[in-house]
Amino acid sequence: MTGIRLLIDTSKCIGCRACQVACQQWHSLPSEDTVFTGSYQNPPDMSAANLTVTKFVETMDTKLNWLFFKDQCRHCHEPPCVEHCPLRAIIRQADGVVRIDSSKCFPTRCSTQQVKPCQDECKYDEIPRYKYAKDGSIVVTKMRKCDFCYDRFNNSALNAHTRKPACQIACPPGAISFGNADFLMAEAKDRVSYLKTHGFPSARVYPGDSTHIIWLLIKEKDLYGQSE
Amino acid sequence: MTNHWVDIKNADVILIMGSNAAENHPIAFKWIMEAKVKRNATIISIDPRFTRSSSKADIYAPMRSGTDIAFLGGMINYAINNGKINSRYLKDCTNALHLVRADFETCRASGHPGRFSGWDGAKYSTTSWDYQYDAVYQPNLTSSAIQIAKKAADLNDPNCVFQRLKEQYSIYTPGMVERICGTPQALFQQICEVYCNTYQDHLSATQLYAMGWTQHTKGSQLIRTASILQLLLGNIGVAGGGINALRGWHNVQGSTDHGLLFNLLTGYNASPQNIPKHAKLGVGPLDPIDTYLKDQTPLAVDPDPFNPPVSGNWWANRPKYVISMLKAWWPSVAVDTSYEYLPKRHKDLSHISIFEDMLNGLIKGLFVWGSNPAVAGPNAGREGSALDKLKWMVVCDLFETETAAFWKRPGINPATIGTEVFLLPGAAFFEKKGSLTNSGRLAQWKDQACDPPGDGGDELEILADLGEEIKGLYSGSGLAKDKPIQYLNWPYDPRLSTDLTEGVAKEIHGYVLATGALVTNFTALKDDGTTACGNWLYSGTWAGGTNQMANRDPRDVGTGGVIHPTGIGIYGMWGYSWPLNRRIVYNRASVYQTGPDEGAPLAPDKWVIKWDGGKYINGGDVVDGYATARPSAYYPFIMRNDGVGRLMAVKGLAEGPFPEHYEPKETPLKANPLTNGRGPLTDPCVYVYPGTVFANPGDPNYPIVATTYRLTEHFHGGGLTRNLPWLSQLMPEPFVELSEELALAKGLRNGDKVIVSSARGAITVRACVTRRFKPFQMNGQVVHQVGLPWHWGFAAPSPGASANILTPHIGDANTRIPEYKAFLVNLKKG
Repeated sequence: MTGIRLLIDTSKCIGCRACQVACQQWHSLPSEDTVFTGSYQNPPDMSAANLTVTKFVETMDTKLNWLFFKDQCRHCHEPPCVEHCPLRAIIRQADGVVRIDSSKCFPTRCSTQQVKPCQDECKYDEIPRYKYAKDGSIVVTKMRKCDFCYDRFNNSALNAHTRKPACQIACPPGAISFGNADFLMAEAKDRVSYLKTHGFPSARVYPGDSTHIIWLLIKEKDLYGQSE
Repeated sequence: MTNHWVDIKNADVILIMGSNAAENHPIAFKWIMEAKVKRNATIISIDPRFTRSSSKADIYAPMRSGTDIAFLGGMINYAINNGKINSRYLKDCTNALHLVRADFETCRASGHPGRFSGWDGAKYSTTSWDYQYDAVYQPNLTSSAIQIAKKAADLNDPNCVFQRLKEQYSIYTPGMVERICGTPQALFQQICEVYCNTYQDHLSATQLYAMGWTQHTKGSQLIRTASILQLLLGNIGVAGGGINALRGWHNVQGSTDHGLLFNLLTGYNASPQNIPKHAKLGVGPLDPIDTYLKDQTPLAVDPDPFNPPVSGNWWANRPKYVISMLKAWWPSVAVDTSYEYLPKRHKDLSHISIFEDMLNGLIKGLFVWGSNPAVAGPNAGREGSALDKLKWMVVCDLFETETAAFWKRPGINPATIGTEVFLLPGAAFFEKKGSLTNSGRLAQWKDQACDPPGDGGDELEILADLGEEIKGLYSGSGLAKDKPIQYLNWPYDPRLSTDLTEGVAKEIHGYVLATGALVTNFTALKDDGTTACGNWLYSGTWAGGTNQMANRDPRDVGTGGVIHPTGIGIYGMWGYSWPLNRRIVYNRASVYQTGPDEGAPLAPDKWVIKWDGGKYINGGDVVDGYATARPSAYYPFIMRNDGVGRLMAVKGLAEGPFPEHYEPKETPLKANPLTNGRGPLTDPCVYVYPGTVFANPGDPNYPIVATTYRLTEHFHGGGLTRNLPWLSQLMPEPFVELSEELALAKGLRNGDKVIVSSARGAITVRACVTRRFKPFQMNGQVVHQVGLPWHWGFAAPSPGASANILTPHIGDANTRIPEYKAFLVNLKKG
């Protein structure tokens, strides 16, 4: 596969959520209303204010596991959202970045349904979002999702070594890698074969070679709430 | 830390116990993960609750809060019984072979179960807690005297320290550990096996601890237990080893170094007490009368003063450091006089004691800098009432914290409070320049990134102005008691710099009084009053007139500017690590001490220092003292007057020379299982503050063990983080974590409101029902435990109940650190 890639290694993720805050900071997104619902996972899901959310899952097999999954747009190599946007507001760059041009996006105009075409066609979890809760009411926005921090890549205002996605820079244990798509897939596969013989027989790459964001999971994908 | 953050990558086993690095020190996991990926290191997490750190551990074991000494004591017993001890290291580097006085008895002696010899019914006489000595040797009248200690021929001598240690822990069996800690025996043994395997020379294990070890009634003894285990395995002084305190604030190490605590001057010199032997300064251990320096400057202890190795006894230099500090503060006054200016400590003045004194009307005014005791202090309700009694209080912070706003806390009529409160706007760390010292003793200089908003100001400038103002007020006084203020060198010697922050930093580094020229480092300090130095440990930070703390070479540079060949992460030209830019202290213990392989590293693939027969080769760490002396010339633990790592603490801590398990002050047990109830249940030396109420042992009204902790998303009293909406949305309100079993018993569901009560108070928080807590099956009973994060208070934004309403006023017997980590509560649906 050509282009760039982000590899999220869940065997290294400590669930600190620095990525969530770094994302909000770079995109100048507001905080949203939350309550404590009984889980560390908060806000409970992605929204127009939180483009990435770490999912916390407690599962029991031979021992207790606390799994962390940094959920976000996968940046599909062949993104259905691009194809099905009636306003052609979603762009797929040659490097694999899939992003929304908010000057062309009008969620109230493209469909009268609550679920918009880009959400409906998304293979994952209706990932582009256009609402969030703030001060007791619902704020409606343009469609928003992870844009790979594409505006950091060639940004001369940043130090050269920080011209990468904000979440990758912020990750304390180094669980997020950014680079060439093929190189990172090879690295992920190497790490999977190592982990398989070092305590994680179910280690795998998710979703596969079809996306520019990939995860290294230590358990089956359904345990992370992922069916696709 | 004996070692440092980067060094964690060199560990083969990483024990995370009494800390939760993933949660509270996330950056530690950069190095933990590197150890895991590059060395296939094993991560062990021991915690009452399965934490974010546990999620990354190879082995997780639950352990009831407050039972760490039993757990670690069990590991000591395992290591000894299974021959997993580093005998050569023990003989060369520790006091294992030193002979103990015949009248010393461990807690296993019949007649006083659970207590050492010397107990008189109320306190200990420490006379028997000592070595056997032959004589005192003094080569001539002016030289230091040496106490000649007796040493056994081998580790089997029944009177040597090693055998007494073995006896002390002989009943800390896996079964006993299970009974006390609630940790299943098989799991405990698996941990022992993995951990104690690092007794081999080429392997090392690191211990990462934090407040989970210190905040107990026997916190000091707990750290001692961990140190004893590391010494038995030969894990101190080596790369990837050590005993490593993960400090809770970015500069808490720096503030401790600079004498923040009530019992310390700068550089870990004890503050003088109001006792006859501290009336005069004196000159050192040979003073004809009792003096402060005679009391504080140790005589060397050496089995054979005529043959090396000898004891380094670095604290013999203490007079130079104390006198240079007095000269930095009062340069124009003779040191005998300026010593009299120092306040003499008349009693304990730790955190709890200060608040008790406020309650009793003894303290009228209070300055609070960057601290929020109304949320962070134990027994927060009681500490709030203490502030009511003040005449005035000054709070310097970024926001109006609960402490600043104590007079409008819920249930209080502000009209009844007479305290006058001043709120000064401070500056955040990026709004001022200066040094920060991290847990690894690494001082890093930072520049100011931006100005504070509004009237906000650098606290150093606020303090300097305040000092000038106070000096002005006292300038006309003829009273003797005002001389310490009149003669105080404030804020620093103007010859050093025109810049306040740099000038203070240079005064800390030290200079020659006559010329104002900076010294090279603390080896140039004198006890004749000709040098001034604010803190000897930081003497070296401005070596050559250059700010060494500002060094930023990103390469792994060792001594002599040489890159370390296997890259153990010294980074010697990045910042400055005290003492003398040494990254791993006690590193003389990382090589063989004597014999044909003298000076060869125990672990060749991660050597720290290396002796080639004539010199230490370049590229390693700065050798720990006596840098040109061969390994066999000095015992490796140069800061000790006996030169060795102490399995047995001569004269002991308050509770004894070896740690013993006692229950927390609030315990679900009625008897200590260790002695089947025949010995003390709780720490016999603990200080109980009058006026604090406690649950009874095994109290049916408060049957549940509780602990407190922090979350990644918030910082301490929340003054900063609850004012950051991005962080508040992640953790919006306080909660109590509890097991599914306990939730079922109490009729609670996830997210429910629940009232948590202790003998001190009650709070309402949300329930977090989780499999990460499990009831303990222990001592023939089921013990439940819960945990509460403590970041919240009543002040907006993002207010919430303070967990410290529940915690007690009781302090460690040695340090009086509060017991936040183990107390009793009950739960009911709110």
